[in-house]
Amino acid sequence: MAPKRKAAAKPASAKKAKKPAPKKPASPRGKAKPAAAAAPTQALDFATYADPEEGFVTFEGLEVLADRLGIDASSDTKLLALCWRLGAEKPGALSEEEWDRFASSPHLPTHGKPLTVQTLKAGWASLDPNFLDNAEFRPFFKFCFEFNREGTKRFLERDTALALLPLCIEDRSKHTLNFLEFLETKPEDFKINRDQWCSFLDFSLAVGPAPEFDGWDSEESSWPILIDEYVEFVQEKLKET
Amino acid sequence: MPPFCHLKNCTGRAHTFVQASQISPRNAYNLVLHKHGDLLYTGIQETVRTRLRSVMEDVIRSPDDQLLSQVCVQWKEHQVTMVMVRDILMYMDRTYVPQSKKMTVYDLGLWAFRETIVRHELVRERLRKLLLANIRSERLGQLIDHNSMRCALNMLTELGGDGSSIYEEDFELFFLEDTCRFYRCESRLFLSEHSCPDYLRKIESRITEEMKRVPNYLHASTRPKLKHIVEHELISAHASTLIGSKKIGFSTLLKESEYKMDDLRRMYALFLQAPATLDMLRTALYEHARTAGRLLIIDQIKEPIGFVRSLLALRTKYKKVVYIAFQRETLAQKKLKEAFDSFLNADIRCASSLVAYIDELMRTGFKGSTESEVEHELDKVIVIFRYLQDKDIFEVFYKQYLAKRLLNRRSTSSEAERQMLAKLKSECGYQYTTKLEGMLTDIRFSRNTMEKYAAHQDRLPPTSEVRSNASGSESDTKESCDMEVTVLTSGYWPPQSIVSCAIPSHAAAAAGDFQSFYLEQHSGRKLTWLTGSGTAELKASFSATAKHELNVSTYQMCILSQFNKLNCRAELSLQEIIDVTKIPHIELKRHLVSLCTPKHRILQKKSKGKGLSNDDSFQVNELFLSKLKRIRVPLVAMREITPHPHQTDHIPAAVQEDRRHLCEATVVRIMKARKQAKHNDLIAEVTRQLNQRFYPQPQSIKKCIESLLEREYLERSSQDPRMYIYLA
Repeated sequence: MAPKRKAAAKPASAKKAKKPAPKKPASPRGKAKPAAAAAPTQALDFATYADPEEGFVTFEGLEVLADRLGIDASSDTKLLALCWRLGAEKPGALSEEEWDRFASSPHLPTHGKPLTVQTLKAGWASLDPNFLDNAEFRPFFKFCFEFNREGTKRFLERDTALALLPLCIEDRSKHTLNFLEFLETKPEDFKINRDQWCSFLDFSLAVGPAPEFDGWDSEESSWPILIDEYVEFVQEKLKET
Repeated sequence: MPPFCHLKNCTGRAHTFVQASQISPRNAYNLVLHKHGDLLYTGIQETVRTRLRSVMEDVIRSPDDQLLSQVCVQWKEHQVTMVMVRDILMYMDRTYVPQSKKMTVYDLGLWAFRETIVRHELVRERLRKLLLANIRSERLGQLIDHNSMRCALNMLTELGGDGSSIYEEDFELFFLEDTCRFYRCESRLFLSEHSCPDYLRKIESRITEEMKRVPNYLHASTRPKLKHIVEHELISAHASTLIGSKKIGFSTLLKESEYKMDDLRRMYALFLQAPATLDMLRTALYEHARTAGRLLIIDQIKEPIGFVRSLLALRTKYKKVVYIAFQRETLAQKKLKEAFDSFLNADIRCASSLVAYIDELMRTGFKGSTESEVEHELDKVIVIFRYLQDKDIFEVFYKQYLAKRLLNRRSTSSEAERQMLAKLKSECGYQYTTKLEGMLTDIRFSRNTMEKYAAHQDRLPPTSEVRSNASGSESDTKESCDMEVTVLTSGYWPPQSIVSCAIPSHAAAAAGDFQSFYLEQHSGRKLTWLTGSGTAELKASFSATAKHELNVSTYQMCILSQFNKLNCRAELSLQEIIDVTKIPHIELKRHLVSLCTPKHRILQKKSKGKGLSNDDSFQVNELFLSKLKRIRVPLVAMREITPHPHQTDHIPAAVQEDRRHLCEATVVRIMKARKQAKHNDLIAEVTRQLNQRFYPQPQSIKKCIESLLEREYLERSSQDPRMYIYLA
């Protein structure tokens, strides 16, 4: 999520640098913040959160929502799950049509109930991705990648991936720590593409943890070369210890 | 004693015996009829036994040297006797015996003979030892009596039955053991004292000898067992020694295969009898060929022509070994191919060496050769070509060399060039040679074009009338020059640099004339003049007497023409030359320096030493001297220029790029047809399709797949990450 990117210097600054102008529209909302805390029955309407110039709800709008819900936008995956259930197609943006699914989507706590922050807050826990089984989780994991891209780019920057991956995958993978260590050996401008991202999940589900890597076949591996390199990296590391 | 005598005596004695026992057919019949069969049976049993017991006394007492013949005589007699008895008692045999489940009379006799005599403790072992001793003597070169041997062994065979084989138990077992021991000993001894070829000769004769033993006196059933032992002890047990020994083992023989073909052939024929050892032989052949090949590369790869010649010789040598010694066996041929495959493809320089060799053939080697000689040479070359895995690298080099040959008119025979291409086409398909053939066609068309142009020129009015200086401009009288133009189709030829320089006016005029002529014929085409290539012939007058014809490059022509406009003593600076001619800096240096070398000092440069300094200046060397009227100015080699393709052992970048494209295109084509495919199947199919041209590493194919995944030509199936799906 965007706030997390503030911790990683480059991508965040790049993102911020892109649109300096909209900061102005942000401030009126900023003023509204303290007032919002006092009014939990605030309506979940598109106009409140959307960026008027863009015509979309952007990361900033989501931050506001997060604030009102009392959650940390940078670490709460339920926010991502929310965007996923709303069917967000563009990275980092929700259209009005998508926003309207607050009412129509059966997966959301606001389905058939008053469209307020209160309702959403009450049913917030139901959005937890941990409830999803592996088959349902796959599309969500893919969405995490898609939603955090920059514009039409087909990849994630290394640092973004480093922050995002552990957050999204949680404990579904026993390879996470090793993989992050491996990613850090890559140069800063290293990029991860969709195939590599999604394959990480599939790999985690199919292949056992180090050092055995049960289910791993080095000769006929159809995994992306990045995964092959990762396994070699861990094996080399274990040889040295 | 003559054999008939024997028989007669036997029969005689048999008769006596029968008479003495007072058996007659009639009596026998009656006895059986009246249910006294058992009486008769017991009677005859007793009679036979008694007789045999007395025989046995004789036999036991025989000294060793007579035992064998004694046994044989007694056996023969017994047989005759029993036949007679059997004949007499035939009725009993047919009625009483089966009823009471007893042995027939003849069998009874056999059994009795066996128990009483042959298996008698004083006979059994002695007999056996004698038999074996005979065989041993024969092996050591002495003559023995085959008849008695045969008789005795036949006897043992016949005495068997009812489940036991006397022959096997009492003789064969021991015989085989003995044989085994004998040959184990002999072979070890012999091998330690003699060379391998000698040993092979010895065992060849031994094997023949042993096999003869079977028809001579052994029973046919012994043959396979004997063969097996002999092969094992003589061949298999020593196979690895024979192959690896320094005392002219297989490897040594291979080295001198020219002279040792007989020995090699013998070795193969012998090993053929113990098929398990043949594999070792083939592997040894493979190892030897491969090592020889590797050494050859290390030794000679720096001299490509010599290398290829030695390579061809090497191949001929091993081919002969396979054809003659290995009897053209397919497996051996395969091993040879594998060996050549392995070392030729370990080093890319082999491909470029082959190209250099062909180049030499085309330029000079084929002078004066007949068509069939050319064919023969090219066939040899193609054999080597077939081994090469990376045929696309070969193509790149071949194109470069071919271009040079064609443009510099160095090819002895265009027919030979065409023949080579035809052979390449039949190896690799027409796509492989389209560009190369295109190059040949360009040359032919250019020649036609020049002919047409010459005809066209003849029809034009003389140039001096056309060019008038009416305008009074400072343009000098444009004396045109003769120009021969080769038009290249850009897609076929290796990439040429297209930076053009400013050429002197008369050359430009001739070029312009040709260009307009050509474009008239072929409208819609674009001509670019490659000033980086080409030669010019200049008439140079250094003084009143020193007149020469200089054969120089196009760039040099441009440089030298500059001096025409000035006085003879005038100097031109490097910068001035650059400015006027607009020749690229690196090339300029090279061509300029070539004009200043001690051997061909056409120009004199200010600075001393080999190199050029930036503020150098040049003037025409008035004192230029040469014995030759017509001088060809060679270009100096500059080391900064890309190294000779032969010296690199990396895959050229162009080839790598090419391979990537081909790989991706193949993947897309396969996926488009199949709609979906598993990873392994895809890799296998891509490899199969590209194999004719080069061997694609599975990792590179994987990279191509990933690139296509990223560009969304393919996607992974959500059910099975090993399956790819084609995205239309």
